[in-house]
Amino acid sequence: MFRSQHLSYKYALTAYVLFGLQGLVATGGALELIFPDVVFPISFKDGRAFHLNISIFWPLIGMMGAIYFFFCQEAEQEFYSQKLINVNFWLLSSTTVLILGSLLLGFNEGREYLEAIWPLKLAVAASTLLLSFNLLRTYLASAIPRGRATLISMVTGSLTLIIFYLPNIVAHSHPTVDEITKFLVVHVWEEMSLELIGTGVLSALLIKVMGAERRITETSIYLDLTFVALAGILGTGHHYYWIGVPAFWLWIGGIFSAMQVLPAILLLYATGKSARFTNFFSLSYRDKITAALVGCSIFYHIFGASFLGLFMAYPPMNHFVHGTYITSAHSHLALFGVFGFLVLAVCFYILFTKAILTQKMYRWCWLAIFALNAGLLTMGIGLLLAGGLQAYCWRVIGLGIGETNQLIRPYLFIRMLGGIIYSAGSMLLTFIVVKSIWPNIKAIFQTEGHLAKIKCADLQHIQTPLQDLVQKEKEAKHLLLRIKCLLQKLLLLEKKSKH
Amino acid sequence: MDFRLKGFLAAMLASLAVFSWLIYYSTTGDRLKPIPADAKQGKRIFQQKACVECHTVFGNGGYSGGDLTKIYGKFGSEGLKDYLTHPPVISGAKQRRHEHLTKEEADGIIAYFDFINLINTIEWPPRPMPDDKIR
Repeated sequence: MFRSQHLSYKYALTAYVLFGLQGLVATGGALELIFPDVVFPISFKDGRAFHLNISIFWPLIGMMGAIYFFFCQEAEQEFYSQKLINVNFWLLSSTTVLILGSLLLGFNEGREYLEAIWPLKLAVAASTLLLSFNLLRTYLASAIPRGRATLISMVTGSLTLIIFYLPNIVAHSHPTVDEITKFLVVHVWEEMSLELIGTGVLSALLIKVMGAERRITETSIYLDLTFVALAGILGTGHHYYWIGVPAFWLWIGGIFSAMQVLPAILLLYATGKSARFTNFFSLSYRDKITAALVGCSIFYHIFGASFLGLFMAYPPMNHFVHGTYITSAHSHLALFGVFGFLVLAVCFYILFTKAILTQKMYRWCWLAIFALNAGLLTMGIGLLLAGGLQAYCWRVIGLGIGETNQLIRPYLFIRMLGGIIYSAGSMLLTFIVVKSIWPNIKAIFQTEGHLAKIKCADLQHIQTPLQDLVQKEKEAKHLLLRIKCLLQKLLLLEKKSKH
Repeated sequence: MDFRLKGFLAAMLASLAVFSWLIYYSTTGDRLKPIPADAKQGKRIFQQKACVECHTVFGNGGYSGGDLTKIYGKFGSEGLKDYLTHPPVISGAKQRRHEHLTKEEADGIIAYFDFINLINTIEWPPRPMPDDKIR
């Protein structure tokens, strides 16, 4: 195991802790919509901003940890700078805490998903820059063939994170330009950058866990990456239909959104062809849970992100459903369903290389996965029904906000119930991870310098038993020599007695 | 260089180039009407109040409070000013009221709504069948 991989544990743990927290605040927000007269400690707008931002940052932190873990495995060498891995962690995690704290205190820049104040956005940009720099230097120094698909996907995905984030450091005064820029993060980060990184990480994981053959997966990965690059960038057009840009975006967005289904199908094909599912029952507890979480991600990739997304992106359909809870259903099923489960899978795999998953915790993991899926599907169904009714009331029969909100209340209640089930699952899974990793918590947060000291200390600990062994070897050698002499004497005596 | 890697990089660069050019084309020339100073100030107030957490503009934002893209065309300046400075109880509640704005804040936001009302959103949101209030 590389020392760089050791430094990724804290990324994975932080991702899990934030993931556990997300559900709680979100459930509060869902409750507030049902019972608006109840006074909650966090206002709806602050809580919603918190929810949107934590839903970006915990997968980002987890994915960065996954990059640090799998990249050196794939490049077969240590990272260029282990110090930068640690600096990056403390920068990103402290920035995340500051962003979430400031949002709860009402410091909100008023742009959806980008509510953080601009100095903190600069810190996020710096963090993505550190990742890209470290990754690129390691890639260029690696002796592995430059065309290895997993390396290419992680490098290009990371570079595009910084490219598309920079225009969003500040808001733009024209509302159309502001919307165009906003979706460079809200869409391109998720459906291009993180999808590129996720493909590389997932492929590396499948090669390790399910015994997928690299030779078979390489071409599939490249095809997948190519379609992601085309469809992910130009498919952004489906967010631009009605924001005041020319009508040709309806064609661009519609056509390339249809193409976005292809990477999902390719991913499923590559996984099915290369991974040996007959081995599933012989996998360890950790690997079974990892595979289950990956399976959830692929399921939502096909149905929650690709097919539902395609349905919504078709311009005549989008004309009616845009601006309703149907979009919210898609966000939950796609963002958490695809990336959430993927990050949980890789972080689980990473953390349980250090911790031990007991049989009792293993069973609870299945319960948590069941609750997460049940909760997510219930939320998705509630939101789809609420959104469908909104589309009908607003766009067809012309009801006002008040009447429509009364009609959709039962479906928002279903959403809230789904959120409670989901939150129970997320807190259980987080508890399992934290409880299992707790005995090793000091080791998780050790610096790269301390790792070197540990190596020296371990060597000193080994020295004494080694000296004992050497001493015993000398004694054993002396005894063997004496046995040899005795044998020789016995043989000589036997010869004499025969004569 | 592996031909698959070349293909991927070519696709990536081509997409980025086409995408950048389309955005440049969409936002330059006279395709976008410049935003006046009072509407710019109104957008700042809109952001400071974080209205987007409950409301949508161009259909993007929070879905509980309704879309504001054509709200100026529906209620006009006086109707909106009265709503924002004397906020009513919000739908579904018995006591909780919409956020209160000062007269200056309301004027700023109304100027912003006036501006976005005139943006060509290709007939979005669609007019419901019985509705003839949207100008």
